[in-house]
Amino acid sequence: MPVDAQALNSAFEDGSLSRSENLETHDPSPIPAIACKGLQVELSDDLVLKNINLSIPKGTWLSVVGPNGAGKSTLLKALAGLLSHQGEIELTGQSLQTWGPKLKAQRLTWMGQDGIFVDDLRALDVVRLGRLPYQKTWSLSHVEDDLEVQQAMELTHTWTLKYRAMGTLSAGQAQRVLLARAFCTQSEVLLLDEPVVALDPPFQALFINWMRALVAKGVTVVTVLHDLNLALSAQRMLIMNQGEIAFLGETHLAELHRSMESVFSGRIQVVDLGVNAVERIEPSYQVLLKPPTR
Amino acid sequence: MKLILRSKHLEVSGLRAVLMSLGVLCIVLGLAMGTQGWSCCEDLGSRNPMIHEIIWQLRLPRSLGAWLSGALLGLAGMLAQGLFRNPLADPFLLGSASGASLGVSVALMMGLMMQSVGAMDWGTSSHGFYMLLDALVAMGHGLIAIFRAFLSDESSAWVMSFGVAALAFLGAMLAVLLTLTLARGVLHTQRLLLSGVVVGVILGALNNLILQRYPSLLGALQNFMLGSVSNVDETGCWLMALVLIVCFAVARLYSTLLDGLSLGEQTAKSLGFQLGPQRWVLIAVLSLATATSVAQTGLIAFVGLAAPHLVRQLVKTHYKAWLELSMWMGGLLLVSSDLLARWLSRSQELPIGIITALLGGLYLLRLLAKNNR
Repeated sequence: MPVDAQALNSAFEDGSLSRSENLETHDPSPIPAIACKGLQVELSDDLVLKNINLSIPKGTWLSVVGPNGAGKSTLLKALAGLLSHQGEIELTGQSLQTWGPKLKAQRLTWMGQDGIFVDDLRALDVVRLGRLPYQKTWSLSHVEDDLEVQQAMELTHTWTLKYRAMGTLSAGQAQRVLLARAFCTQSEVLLLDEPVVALDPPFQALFINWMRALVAKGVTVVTVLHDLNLALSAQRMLIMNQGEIAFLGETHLAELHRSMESVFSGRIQVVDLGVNAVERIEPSYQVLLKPPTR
Repeated sequence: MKLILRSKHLEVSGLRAVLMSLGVLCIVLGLAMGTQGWSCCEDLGSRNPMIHEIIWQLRLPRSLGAWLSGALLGLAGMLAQGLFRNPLADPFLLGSASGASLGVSVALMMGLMMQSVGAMDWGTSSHGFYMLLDALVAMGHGLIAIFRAFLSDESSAWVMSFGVAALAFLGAMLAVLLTLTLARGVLHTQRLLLSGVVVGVILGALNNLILQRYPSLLGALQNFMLGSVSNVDETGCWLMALVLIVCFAVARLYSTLLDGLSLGEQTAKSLGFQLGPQRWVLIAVLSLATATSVAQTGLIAFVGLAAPHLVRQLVKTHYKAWLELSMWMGGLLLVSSDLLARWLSRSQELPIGIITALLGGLYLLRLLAKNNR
């Protein structure tokens, strides 16, 4: 990992990295919410993830960024146990393989870009699927955990759309319904792959609030985000490139910003707006696109 | 909270009540409709033993059989659309139709329907495949001779009609298994659909080879290919009813998998479903329902496609309700098609498959036109 040790040390000294979660040895919680060691994933003979070591502390928001094909979505799927992989993945300190499918689904929610065929299902029924992990396999009755469902739908402003068929919703509305589906499981670990797709700016801003509220409740969130400004609102950022970790650290680190710029081949610039990120709630950095100069 | 539940239940139970009562109405109308039109209406309560027999031995199994076969297809269709996550999937996708036709061809060839295979040219060919066919025919005739010797005429006729159904069933199951083997399991939807097409083509070719050798089978087979409910008997009704109950119960138990699958295969997996084994169960149910229907009433087109589709359009809910409604809808569609077929051609039998193909085809056309807009 190209982490500049000297810069990190100075960060420790001036206190800006008071509870460093950057190095595994400095983990605040003894048991990480989700961790992987030597994770390798091969997709049709291509090594998409190369020896990933990662430990995500409980109650943090980590955003994963990187160029197309860097392995971000694959990492999320692998962490959710959806792909065959080499290496060890641990969910709250216990090997992922040893979790029963239902129990794992209660603890860990994955939401991603999946082939979706829900046009005729109603929004309410889609959100209810999030409660399925709590349903007994042979139970004859359909899940009716309405309280959690209603809460999640009210949170994402979709409660008024509950009777609408998914096919009649706009892309942003449908995305919010899917988010409500992910939220209503109320799991400890949330892995969200491009959760703000099609969300308008007010909802993107709200999304940051949702994430912070979840983290405050002790939920661990990992999000793959293409909007770098939004990604910088997370506590920590994992920068991936070509199946490897390019950088992992708190989002206010200047080194991280430089790493972002280099990973995106110098086509972006992260500008420090000069406000202390720890004190301000709003992101205090801005990512600018740099068109090629003539 | 209670209000949502109630309104949904109202919608679903309303449609269920309508579909059920229309189905029963059509079955009753079917009892009253004969070759002479409605003339037997007043005879329903008649004590004339001949009319009594016509109504209860011929018309009841026919109407009930049409309903049951349609219900099986409707259930199988909804299962197929959910499993393959495709609104245009139908129960015949996995090659069961061509497998069943091959089974019927083999049954006919082996002489289970002697009268239709009157004159046959023996041993004129030295071709390997034809020799195999001829050997099968000889074997079949031998078996029938044995049956004839030991059984009464009535029971040997029963064995023969049962034999045709059994071979159709075996053929359908064989085709599905072949498709699943080719697709190396149930996990890859695209591969599964493609394998279904390939198996359909190959079995169709085998079927055509048999017809090439014994052209006289064509007439008997045509009835099957077009689909017909006129030959359904009491045994067939019992069989279909039993299979329908079993299939419906199992499908209902696993219906949440279909809801989960509609969010994507990975999402379903992340929701805690064990996709492999649970899909196997549902594919087995789908094949059993389809094969039973095909074995009794032949290849009836479009019911398995139109019934689930109509239900989806009428109520937006989840698969558990949809599966049930699609079953009622399939039954209603087929029994009403049978009524229409009988009403349109009172003197000459019009195969029901032609009616469903025409209506279903028009429905599909309308659907495509709507989707293009």
